[in-house]
Amino acid sequence: MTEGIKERISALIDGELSEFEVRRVLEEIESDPELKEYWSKLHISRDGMKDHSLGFFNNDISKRVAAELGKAVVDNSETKKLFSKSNFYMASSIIVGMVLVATTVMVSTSESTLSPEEAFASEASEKIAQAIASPEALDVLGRSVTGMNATLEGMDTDSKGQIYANYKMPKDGKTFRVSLSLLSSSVPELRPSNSSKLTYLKTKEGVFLISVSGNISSETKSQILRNANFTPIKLK
Amino acid sequence: MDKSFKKSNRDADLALVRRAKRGDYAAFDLLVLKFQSRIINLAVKYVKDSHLAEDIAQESFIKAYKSLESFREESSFYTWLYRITANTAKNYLTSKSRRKEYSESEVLSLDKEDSDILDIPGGDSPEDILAANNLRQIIHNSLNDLPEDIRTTISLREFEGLTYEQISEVTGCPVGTVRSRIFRGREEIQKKIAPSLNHLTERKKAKEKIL
Repeated sequence: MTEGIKERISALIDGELSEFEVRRVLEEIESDPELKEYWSKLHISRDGMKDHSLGFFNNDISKRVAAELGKAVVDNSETKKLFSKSNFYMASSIIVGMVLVATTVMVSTSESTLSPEEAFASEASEKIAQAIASPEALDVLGRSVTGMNATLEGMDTDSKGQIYANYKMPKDGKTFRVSLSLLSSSVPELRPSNSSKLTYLKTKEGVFLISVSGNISSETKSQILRNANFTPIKLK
Repeated sequence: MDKSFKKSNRDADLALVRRAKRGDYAAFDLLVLKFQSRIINLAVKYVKDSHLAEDIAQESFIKAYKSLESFREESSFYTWLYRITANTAKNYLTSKSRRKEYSESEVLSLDKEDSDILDIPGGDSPEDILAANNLRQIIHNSLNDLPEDIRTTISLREFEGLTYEQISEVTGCPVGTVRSRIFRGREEIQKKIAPSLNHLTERKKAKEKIL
């Protein structure tokens, strides 16, 4: 149980995680009983602090409830259950796999006439896959929309090894995309659209480019980058 | 503090509720863990028996899960769950034709979503109530012992209900610092209450073995 996951659980209690982060934390809690216990204990101290009842803090009915509902879920919606058990890490693995497949295909089909971007992709494919799969990199995407009440619509990757998450603001239906890609010294010139804002992040996994695009305000884009603790650089 | 903020209307549980609505049981499980103590405490006020109260609470959570789609987010999740529990308890008393533990007016007063009425110390013995009160004292002492910056941050969150962003504006600290301070404060309190929690958990297990 690391400090990082405990801090995220603390933020989850306060409703301060993005949907992206919530998914990740739930996956981690589900696989580690100690984290679930940590969640419970934090609530005991919060209840005590606020003078809520502590008389039954030791009475755990969660397993009984789960057992009853588990049976109901299996009987009533097997298909739904299959889809509802979305696994963030599985999704990440699929995306990483797509990066590898895409870059491998590019290398095998047009090795002799690689464009600069393709050459970059082929050289960096493995590194990109490893770096983008790292929890650190995925944290960047999740952290960027903290507190925005944005709904994650989907995640995908492109042939250049860029991973991106599409979001929608339920309030006004506006959509935006947060992209993350790994840079190296051999990176070709990247030309995000004029409406994008981007910044760089240097980590032990390499240097990442983060960009935000979509029909949201410039201030919101800056906020997204600030959330990730970066200084936004407006593209000209 | 030269700025005044209204308590955030945002339901901190909404993210979990929405995940649960999509069939993510892990999210609902966390809601059960969060609220079970308060829900059992509410049920025991109606049925006056802790084991029966657990059954009422269990049924209430099951009803809530099965009807999550009907939760329109117009109130907090806890308010909605509270109503389900109160109705479940009242239906139980009515259907079983049990002797009412409360007069009609007392039951009506229990319908008020007033935490001062609801969240009195519970437990099934004077010993449990004493243990709960001791634990509460340790929690309050731990909070008071925190460094001022952490105590202020955590108080703004827990007692004033401010969001991290609002706390950031009030204290002039980045949101990341607010998040970190709240976490560190909670960690400190956890360390202080751990021995008591462990003792009480062991005591409960021993008691259950005897019974």
